[in-house]
Amino acid sequence: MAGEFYLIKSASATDVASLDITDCFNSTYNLYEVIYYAKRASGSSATNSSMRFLDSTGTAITSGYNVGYFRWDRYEGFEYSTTRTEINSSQLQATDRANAGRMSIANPYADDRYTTGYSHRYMYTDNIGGASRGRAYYGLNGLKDVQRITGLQVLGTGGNVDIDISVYGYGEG
Amino acid sequence: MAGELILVNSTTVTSDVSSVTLTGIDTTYDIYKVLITNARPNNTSGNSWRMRWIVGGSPEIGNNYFTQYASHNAVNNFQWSGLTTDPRYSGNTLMYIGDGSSDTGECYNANINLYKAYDNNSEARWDIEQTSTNSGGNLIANKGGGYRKAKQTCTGVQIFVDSYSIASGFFGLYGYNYS
Repeated sequence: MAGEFYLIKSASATDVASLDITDCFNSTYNLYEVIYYAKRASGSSATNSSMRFLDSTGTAITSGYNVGYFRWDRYEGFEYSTTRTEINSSQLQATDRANAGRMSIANPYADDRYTTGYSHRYMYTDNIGGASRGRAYYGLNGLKDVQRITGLQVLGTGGNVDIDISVYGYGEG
Repeated sequence: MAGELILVNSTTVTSDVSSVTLTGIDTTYDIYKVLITNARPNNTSGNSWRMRWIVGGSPEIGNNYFTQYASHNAVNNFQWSGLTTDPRYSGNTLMYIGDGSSDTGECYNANINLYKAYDNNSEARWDIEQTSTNSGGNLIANKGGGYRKAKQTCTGVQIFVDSYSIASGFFGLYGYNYS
């Protein structure tokens, strides 16, 4: 709808290895907002959750991600790479740990330009360097590859996760 | 209606223009938002995207614009810019809103919120989330904001590219209320 911040699609699942939210990007919108929440499932031994883009056939893309973000906790740091296999990767190292984030994504559906995104996400890290602590990230999460992106996948590593995800579009018309 | 994002004004550029001006800021909405998507300058090597307030019907070209931002990319870690150690964007005659070019695969996108723009008892503020590709061909994401150190009534913004024209893109001005 013209001029609106429009909910395109939502999806939820519990105790799953991954969840695909398909066909949430289209030619109507150029700028999107994604809000997601991934929690270690009950009884799971998952160690991380992360996200991937789905290509024009609905298949998860596993290479070519570019990331560069600032990291805040009791210390400060940064991470950057042009060879990541996923984006928004965050730790789930104990029972009830969860990762939450918001990500803006530009031009996923255009098939003649890169897909760039800016994300904020929060996690809790357990016993790394002897000190458990909360941690926030913000910065670049993108795919430096010219292809059409049609959806998103949220996945767990090492076990199952509970997932909630919503995708919104900015109506430009 | 409360909570809704309402389109106030927009322009879609399909051939070279020197700048885009979006007007329509008044007392109707608490916050105004500028969205820029799929924008490209008419050069492939890249350059700075810039913005000025519209005051009295014309772009405000006076000094005292201040811009601060954190720039992230996947190759050269990150940088802080616009702080007092970087005079380019402190006390300047324009607001810096990121880099972008028109080489293969590249374009510029921004989500900018404007605060107290119409209130001549306040110094208008803005913040930005912006993604694009810099002149080195690297994906970048910027987060920042700024203001002009002057209390004046701003009715819009002018957007342009340093030394080049705007070749394409969507430019929209929206309004929304706190409640």
